[in-house]
Amino acid sequence: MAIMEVRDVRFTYRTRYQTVEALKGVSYAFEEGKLYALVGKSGSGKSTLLSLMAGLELPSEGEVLFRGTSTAAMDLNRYRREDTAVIYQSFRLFPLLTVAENVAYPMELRGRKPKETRERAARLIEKVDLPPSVLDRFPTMLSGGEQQRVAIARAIGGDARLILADEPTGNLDVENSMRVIRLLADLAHRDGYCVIVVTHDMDIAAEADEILRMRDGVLTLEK
Amino acid sequence: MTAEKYGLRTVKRSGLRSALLCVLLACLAAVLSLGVCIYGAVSSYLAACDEYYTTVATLEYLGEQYPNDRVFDTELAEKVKSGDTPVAALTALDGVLSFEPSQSVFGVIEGEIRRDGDVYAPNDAVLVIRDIVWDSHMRAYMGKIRACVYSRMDKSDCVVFLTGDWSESEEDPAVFLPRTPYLMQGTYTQGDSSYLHFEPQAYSADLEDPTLHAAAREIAKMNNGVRVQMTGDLAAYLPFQRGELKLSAGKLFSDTAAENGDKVCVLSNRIASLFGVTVGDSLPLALHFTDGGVYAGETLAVTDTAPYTVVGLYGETERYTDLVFIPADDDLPTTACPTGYTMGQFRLENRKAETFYEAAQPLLTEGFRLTVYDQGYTVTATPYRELLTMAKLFLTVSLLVGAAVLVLFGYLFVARRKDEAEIVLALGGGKGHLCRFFGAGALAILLPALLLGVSAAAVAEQRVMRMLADFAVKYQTQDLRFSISVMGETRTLDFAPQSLWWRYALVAVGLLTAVIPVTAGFALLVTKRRKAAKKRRTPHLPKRATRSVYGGGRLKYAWLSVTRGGLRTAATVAIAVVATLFVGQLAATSHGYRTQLAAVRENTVIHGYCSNADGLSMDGLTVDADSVQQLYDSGLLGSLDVSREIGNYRFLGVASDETGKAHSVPTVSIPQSSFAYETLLDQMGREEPWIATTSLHSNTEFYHAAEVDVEWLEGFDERCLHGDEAALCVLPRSLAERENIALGSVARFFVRVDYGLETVDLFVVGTYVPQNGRETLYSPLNFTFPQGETLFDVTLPSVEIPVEKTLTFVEYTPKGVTSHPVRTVIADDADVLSFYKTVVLGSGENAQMLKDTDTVDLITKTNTNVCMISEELKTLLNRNPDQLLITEKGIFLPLSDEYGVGEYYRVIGIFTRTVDGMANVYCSPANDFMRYALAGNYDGVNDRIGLNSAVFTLESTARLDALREAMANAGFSSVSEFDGMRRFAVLDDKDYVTTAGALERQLRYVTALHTLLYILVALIAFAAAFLMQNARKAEVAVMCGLGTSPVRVFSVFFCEQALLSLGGILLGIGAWYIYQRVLHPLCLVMAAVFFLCWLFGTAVTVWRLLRTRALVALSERE
Repeated sequence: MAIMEVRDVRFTYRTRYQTVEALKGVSYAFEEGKLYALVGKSGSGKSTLLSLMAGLELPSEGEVLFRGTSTAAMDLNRYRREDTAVIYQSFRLFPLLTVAENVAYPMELRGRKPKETRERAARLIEKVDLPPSVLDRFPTMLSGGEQQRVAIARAIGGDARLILADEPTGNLDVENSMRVIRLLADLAHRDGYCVIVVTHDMDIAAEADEILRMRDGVLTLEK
Repeated sequence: MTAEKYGLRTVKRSGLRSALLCVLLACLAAVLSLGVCIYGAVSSYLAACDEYYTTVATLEYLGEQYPNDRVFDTELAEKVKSGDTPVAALTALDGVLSFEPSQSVFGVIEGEIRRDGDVYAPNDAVLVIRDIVWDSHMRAYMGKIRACVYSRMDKSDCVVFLTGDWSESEEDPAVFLPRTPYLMQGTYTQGDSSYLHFEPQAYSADLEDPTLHAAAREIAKMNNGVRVQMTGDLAAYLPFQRGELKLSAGKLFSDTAAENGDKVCVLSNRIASLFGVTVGDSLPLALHFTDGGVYAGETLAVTDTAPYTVVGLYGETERYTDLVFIPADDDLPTTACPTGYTMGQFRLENRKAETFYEAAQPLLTEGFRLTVYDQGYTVTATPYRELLTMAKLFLTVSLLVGAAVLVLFGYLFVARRKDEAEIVLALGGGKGHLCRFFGAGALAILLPALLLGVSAAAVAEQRVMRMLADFAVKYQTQDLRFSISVMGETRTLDFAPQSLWWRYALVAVGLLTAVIPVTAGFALLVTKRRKAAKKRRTPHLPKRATRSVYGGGRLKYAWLSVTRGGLRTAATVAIAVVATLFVGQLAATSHGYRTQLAAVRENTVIHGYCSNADGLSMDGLTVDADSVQQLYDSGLLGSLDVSREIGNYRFLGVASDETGKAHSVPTVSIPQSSFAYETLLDQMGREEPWIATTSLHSNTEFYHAAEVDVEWLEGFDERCLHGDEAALCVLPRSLAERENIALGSVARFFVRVDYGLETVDLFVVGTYVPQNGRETLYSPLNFTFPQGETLFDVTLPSVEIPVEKTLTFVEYTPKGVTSHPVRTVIADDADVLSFYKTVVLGSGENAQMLKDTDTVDLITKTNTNVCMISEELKTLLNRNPDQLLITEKGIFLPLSDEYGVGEYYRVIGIFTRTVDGMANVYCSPANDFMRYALAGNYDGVNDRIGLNSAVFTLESTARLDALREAMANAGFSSVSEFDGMRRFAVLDDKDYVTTAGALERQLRYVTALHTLLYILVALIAFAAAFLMQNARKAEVAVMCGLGTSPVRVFSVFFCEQALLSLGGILLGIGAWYIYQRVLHPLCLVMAAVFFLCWLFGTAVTVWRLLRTRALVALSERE
């Protein structure tokens, strides 16, 4: 059973001057253990589809199903808190929280105990190839690649099986970009996460198991 | 023209933006136009006020003669000669335009016959008296007046009794030869007697005695002389400045007349009428100069006689009847000392009068008083001065806002179109081309904007001016009735500004000359490339690692944000601290003014007193006790002291000394003969006064004294004058020392009282130092009112008011006295009215009215003191017209009541007695009688009780306005109001009105300003919180993205900001307390308001952020 399925999803939003139909009947099923790359030109609807899957928006038409349940029928806060994790291009770490506190934030939202939280945060930092010394540092003290890996650690800290990454390498150099995409690929292949990465970099997309292309709001399987 | 063409085209095609900019500039033009118009109108009005109003300050000396302004004060003369006056010091003060000493000289106009009673020696006469015989029964000489060489009263053929120090036992043949006429110079003496009395001072059997004839001429000259007042600026001279005297024809001479030495004068209508002169005619006026003032010289030497051209006539008043005004002339010798108590007057700059008055107070030496008369300038101009300040502020703010608007215009119209500018430059257009491109567009927007804005302002101007006038009226609503500060005429100058086109033109030109350079400047600015790279804005973030915190619940994030927020935290706290200190300062300022006002109210005691029509507290007043009682009953008075003259006294001796030992004291036997009795009455009437009072201070003798020097018998003080024990007295110390009267003894006096002569014994409880040269005897007020109703806590007799007053016209004839009963008419009595219409007025045959309107006068409620007389009485009066008062206003008949109190009634008609029993005189009810009779429920107490003085204090200054109302209700009039009421009272509230008024104005200002500032603080709190939280959009979005519930996000931010703002406020309050050691409730309230507004701003922002699409927020670049 697909962990995430979009069925004939349409999404329309209005700007001051026009009404934009960002998604025009998108359907696809995403499975665990795979890394998906969502590619396309700017304005093709990639990020919109990602925000629908992340529970940040609800589709105008169609359904977004998580493990067979429509997000429209869910408590979206809870869904975002427990079932999905989003990684952003600009990391979106809390600047006033340490690395450990950033990673621990979703765990604390779930009500985990402090001791368990501390240990798990340390393990996750280790898992994303960061030294333990960064735990008590603030995100701004880290490089872009390190910050993105902290963001990945925060994403997987919450036990969500669906990881959505919006241009995770957009602000990184090639070396760091490859480290991050491989980390995400490991999470998919080794730990069984379903990882969906929005990117316009075909080198990054090449690391994915499946490449999906968005063009004018229509999704097509490219690889 | 390409640049201009495309510039205009872009304006046309960006319609909305152009329209918005046009509206922006139109608003600016309108606001600036209104600002300029308001400023111009108000400043013009104030300038007009300065021209229209005249402020003077009189310097008066409250000496022994005060407030008699017709006598020479030797004490003042000495001070003037020794230079012991504050004139020089006061003249040097800021705001003084000039000082004009009071210069009056004695003038003689040949042929002038004065009829007023204020002549130098009204009762002096030189008579030829014949048939002088000794009347043994009367114990006096009597004779018959054969001729009057000089007398103001023609008493020819009248029998006269000669008073003097004649031997009481027998006729002294050496005094007057029998059957010999004598030429006598002397004085008529007034008594209660109906006989004529004359006291000779010099006499001669030589009827042509040159000395006595010269004396007659001299007395005539003195009595018919006029006071000539010399002044530089007649319009500023107090009677004209106050509005007491008004010009009826011609003009007032100005200071140029004095400079040119013009021989011009301004006369009363009476003198002009007497001499048949009018404006433009010439009148010979002889001036006499004496060192001692107008009446001080024994003989008068003419030093200047010249024809004076009449340039103006004024309507005379009771006080100013025969005053002649001439320009001050340096060539004319002036008297060294003024006559009367007024030293002179300062001409002041209107707007500096108040500061002058305040600065002058410490310079006034003892006995001198300064009174400012500003014709209502302060009341009128003060709100406009405040308006001018506001107009300046408004104009300044408008100019600053205008500058900001122009910068905004430049930014929006030019800087935001940088791309267009670059294209223009790329296509080869130079800087000039670019300036013309934007300049043309700017003009295309500005011109319609100016038209729109200026038109709107012109339409709104009149409405705004009306609003300003309304504001000024509301501002002027300070109740100044009865105030000593408005004793003069209050003039009004309407605020009616004209709409002046050039003010709008000024704004238009100003904007035109400002917009073009601004546009050009911005155009040149955008052409410059920025050399330095745009500096990246980096938020303040922690620079050191710290120990991570795990757990901690919902508010952990809030707490960490607070502790690690750095600049953001500091900024929030700093804003809260500054805001708290700011509101603390505002509250302290406001509290300071309130405290000052409360202190002024608490520490100020406002005195009031009954006065004459000029606002002077003086002897001889008749204060209506009923009005004072009403005032007392209002409950607004803190104290009330009154005095009433009982009569006159003559000290007989000490009946018992302080040890109680009785002494034999000679008594005065009451004469049995009427002549001797009346002579004694007359003599007693000239003795020193005996006054009943509740306080020595309430008497005019002490009213202006700094303190009353009284030595009291042990166990007694001034309160005894207010007590039940009546037979007490406070003696003049001079009398006590002269007669060896000790405190505690009983002194015996022979007194003349209302009901006759008697002997009284009074217990001496104190001695005092007299202030006015008289030896007045003071007793408790109770002495006059031993029984009856209550007046001011003192018992009074109850006086029944007759329903119909019995008046009598007493006709004196050589054959005897004839009394004519008089019927009074009550206007609302239908029967009497009918009687009047049918019988008295009849068909017109029986009654002859002097004027048609008088018919109505007689039968109306409001008109009093008019009468009609019968033909028979008219015939009688024609025989003896001296008993009538004949003036320009008509013929007046003296009528007296059962108490012998007389009043003049104007004769308005003559009728024929057609019915038996008809009276010879019908008159309207007397003033008081009519009032009480019409009141219906008047209980009769206090009627006819006249008090000589009444002084009082206000219980609480906070109830000052209520007292003014109570005074008006009690029938008192303001001195400045020349209406029908003749009961005047003055509140000495100038200092309070000035101080409290200024504080109240400041407080009003502060309250209004502070309200705005409080609102501003609240808005700042809201805006700052909004802006600071709005910058954390991404933070909220990430939280939401991570699944944090909105409630939790909200509580995190809300708690964080509550913690920070509260901390800042507490810090601010602590700092303020350390600095000031006091916390005003208003400060705490406003700090709470700031706190709530901050939280409200936070809540609104976070709520708004929570509603923002997370996708939008998260996809934004940081």
